[in-house]
Amino acid sequence: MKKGTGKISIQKVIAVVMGAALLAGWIFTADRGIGSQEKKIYREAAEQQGLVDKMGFSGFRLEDYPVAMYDGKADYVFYQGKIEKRSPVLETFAGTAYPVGDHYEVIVPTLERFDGLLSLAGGVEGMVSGSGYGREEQIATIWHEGLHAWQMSHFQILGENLTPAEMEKELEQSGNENGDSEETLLVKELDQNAEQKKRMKKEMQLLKTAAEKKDIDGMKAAILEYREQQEKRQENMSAEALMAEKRCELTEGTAYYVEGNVLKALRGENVYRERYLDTLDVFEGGRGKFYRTGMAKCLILDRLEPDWKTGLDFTESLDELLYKAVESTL
Amino acid sequence: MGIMKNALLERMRRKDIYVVLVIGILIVMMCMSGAATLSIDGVPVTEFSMMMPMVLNVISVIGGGIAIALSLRTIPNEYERKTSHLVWIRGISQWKYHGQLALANIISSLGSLFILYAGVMVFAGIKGEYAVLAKCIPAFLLFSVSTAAVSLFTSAVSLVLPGMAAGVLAAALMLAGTMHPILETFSGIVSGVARQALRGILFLTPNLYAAESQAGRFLSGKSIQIHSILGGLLVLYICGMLLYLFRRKEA
Repeated sequence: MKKGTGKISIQKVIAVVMGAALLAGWIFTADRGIGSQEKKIYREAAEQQGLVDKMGFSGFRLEDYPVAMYDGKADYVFYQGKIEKRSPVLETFAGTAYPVGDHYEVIVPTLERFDGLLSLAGGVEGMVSGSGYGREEQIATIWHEGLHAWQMSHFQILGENLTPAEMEKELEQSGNENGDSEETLLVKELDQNAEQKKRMKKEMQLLKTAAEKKDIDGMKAAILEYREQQEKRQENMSAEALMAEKRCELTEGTAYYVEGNVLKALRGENVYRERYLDTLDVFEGGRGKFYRTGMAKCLILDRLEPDWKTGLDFTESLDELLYKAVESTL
Repeated sequence: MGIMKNALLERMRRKDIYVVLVIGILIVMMCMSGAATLSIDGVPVTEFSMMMPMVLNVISVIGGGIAIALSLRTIPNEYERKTSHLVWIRGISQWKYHGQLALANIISSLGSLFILYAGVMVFAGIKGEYAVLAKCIPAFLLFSVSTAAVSLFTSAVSLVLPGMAAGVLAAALMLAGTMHPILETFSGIVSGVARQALRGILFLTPNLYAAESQAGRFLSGKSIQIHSILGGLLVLYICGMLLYLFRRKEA
């Protein structure tokens, strides 16, 4: 009996030691802080500054803005060569430029968390590596949001002057307001109106045609046709919806343009063509379509007025810039 | 070991294995389906690299379900037969008795999982992915940790809970564990009580997915995360401890 008890005791000791070793190993190998993948993404994003400088948005530097990566539990803020962990500013997974205190920051989910989001959307975990969204796309997204941070930090977009604090208040109240949001306005006045939707689709096709034209005359002809079509559509829209369209096209169109060019540098011409150029006329509900029309206008402006970004202050809409460029070359 | 052998032989006599085989064949057919209805970034999802993680996910859930089904009644059935006194009079402790029955459960669960997993091996062979094929067996060891843990947990809770409650609890653990990253992501999207509830579930359930996903990483040539494998083994160890601690009054 004594012998048996001793044997069990040794087994117990072995079991306890095994458990302790497993626990210690598990704790010791745990990730502390943000993963190396995310650090690499930020480093590579910052390395694209030279490329973005060549695009011509004078004074736009990504490193001027903190970039926060949210992993579902905490924000890891990359700024001035340091990474700081803090409680999340936005406890939601969104790629955005957001007011934090007296400044704007870029906030994105970590790529690892984005992978989880993709699986939630119907894929499986790990699918992101084989899907259309990976490291390069994350870098392009950071630049997209970086441009928004720059726009909001330095310019009165279409005359609107909001401090970060005012913007934060506006964003907090946006879910509680009684009036329609920009998205809702555009859905109501464009997407849900068959005639308007048809016109919008036609406009998108004309813009794509213009952007693809090799000769300037052909491009201008397509733009004039586009303008005619656009005027017909805009006659039937409220002032609020028109402003929403202009603002979205200007802010998102330029950001989408930067994003596309960064991705072109990282993933090559073919991917850029497939994702951005070939889809310029793809109609999307809500604000999405204006990312594409805005980018098309940026591409056309590159041809008609190569210096259009120098001194760009976002007080004029892309249409105003475009029509001025067309008129100056007539 | 006699107790374990008998429990395994009983499994063989039953028809469970045929059901598992049919599911395995269905998985192979699913893998080899040429009708690509989904294409991501120009790559059809029937490609091995795209299908493999998806198929492993499906197998892990089905394998977990089978592990619960195979492990849920083994120990309670033995007690219901009122033959356990024959074990006690031979001086075999309750822990050893339970341990051998639980081991039989694990072996039969992993055997079933392997039949399902063989679908991936067949698929890799057909696609000419010989490098992947060569890694299939070590990958299976990584893949099987969470299924073994589910089986062991089911055996342990079947000692102290009625059949239905034990089954529901084991299924909840298996599903929440397999869906851990999805729940983590979801907890970041919802707010209020739902978020707290999800975080509570996440806190209480082990991340089984992290352990089993290492197999997919290994097969696709990515680096494996030791932390996740140790986490899986730790869960297995804790389930073993539960089996040791839980006792039946009948004994």
